[in-house]
Amino acid sequence: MLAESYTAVIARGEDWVDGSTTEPYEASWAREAIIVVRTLEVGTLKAGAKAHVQVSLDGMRWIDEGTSLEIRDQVDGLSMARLSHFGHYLRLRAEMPDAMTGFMLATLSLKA
Amino acid sequence: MLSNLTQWDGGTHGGLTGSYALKLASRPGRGAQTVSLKRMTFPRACTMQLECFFTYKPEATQLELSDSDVRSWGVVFDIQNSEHRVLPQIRYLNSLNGELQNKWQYKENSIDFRDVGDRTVTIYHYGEENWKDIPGGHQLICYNEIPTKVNWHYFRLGFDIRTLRYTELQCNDLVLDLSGLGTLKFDAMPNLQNLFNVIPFVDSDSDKRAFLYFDSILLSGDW
Repeated sequence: MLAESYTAVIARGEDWVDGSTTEPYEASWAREAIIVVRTLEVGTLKAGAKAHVQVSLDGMRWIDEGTSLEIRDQVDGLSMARLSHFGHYLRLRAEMPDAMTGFMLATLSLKA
Repeated sequence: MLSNLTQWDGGTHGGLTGSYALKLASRPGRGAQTVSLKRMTFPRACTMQLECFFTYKPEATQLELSDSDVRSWGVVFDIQNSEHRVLPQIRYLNSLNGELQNKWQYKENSIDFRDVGDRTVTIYHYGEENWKDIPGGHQLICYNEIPTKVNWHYFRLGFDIRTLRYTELQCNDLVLDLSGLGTLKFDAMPNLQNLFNVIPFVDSDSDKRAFLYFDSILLSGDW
């Protein structure tokens, strides 16, 4: 059997500010994931912006998973995180101090 | 996305016949909508039908009835033969602006196409404009007390690609003859020969996310 895989675009051209989150994505079927965050437009980004991975069992109450990605302050800047053993829902929460904003793309690649 | 319908109170509900169901989730907010597409072409013009088991619920952010929180769910076909492109679309309007509606609707007219450059046009035909009630289409669909309890329902929608007319709609024990209803209809467009897309959608009528689930979608025809 080929392993099922699926890539979801969880943020497609969205202005992130401090506290922005992606929509809850159900991934209970997947064993592993790669999350990629790409900066489409720099906005007021500087060093120090991060996206934190969060997990949830119900899609409503969220726990920090412990993994964080740098949000790059150049166009097409990429960062990546590998995840495993993450349970049910996944999302990203942006931490962007100093009123930073950025126009972002984020993808979630899942594999059974 | 693929969901096993896990609820905070009852744990995993599962699909109708197995663990998983196809889930469409809107963003939170009245009028928020999500759409999913399967893009195909038809091998031969013929009668066809889409069948599925479906259910819909709002996100369970409140332990209240919440039966008017999902606005509607529906299905669009996008079909083109040598002469015409048609966009038959029907929906079950559950609620509008907080008022229960409980009826099936269809759409014959939408808005104009919009030029998006490079010889490409687009049309947002999923809006609130021009929905019309299907005669005899009032139906109460089982809604079980709270957002975390899910019941599955049977649905089918038939269409004849030879005549570009609907045939029948069935939802549980309601069967509607749709053969007299019109559809959105345009002159055939370049590059879309034998186009055949299936497009389910769901929208919210509250500040909550609206979820639509399918346990299997079966497309059959005299291909």
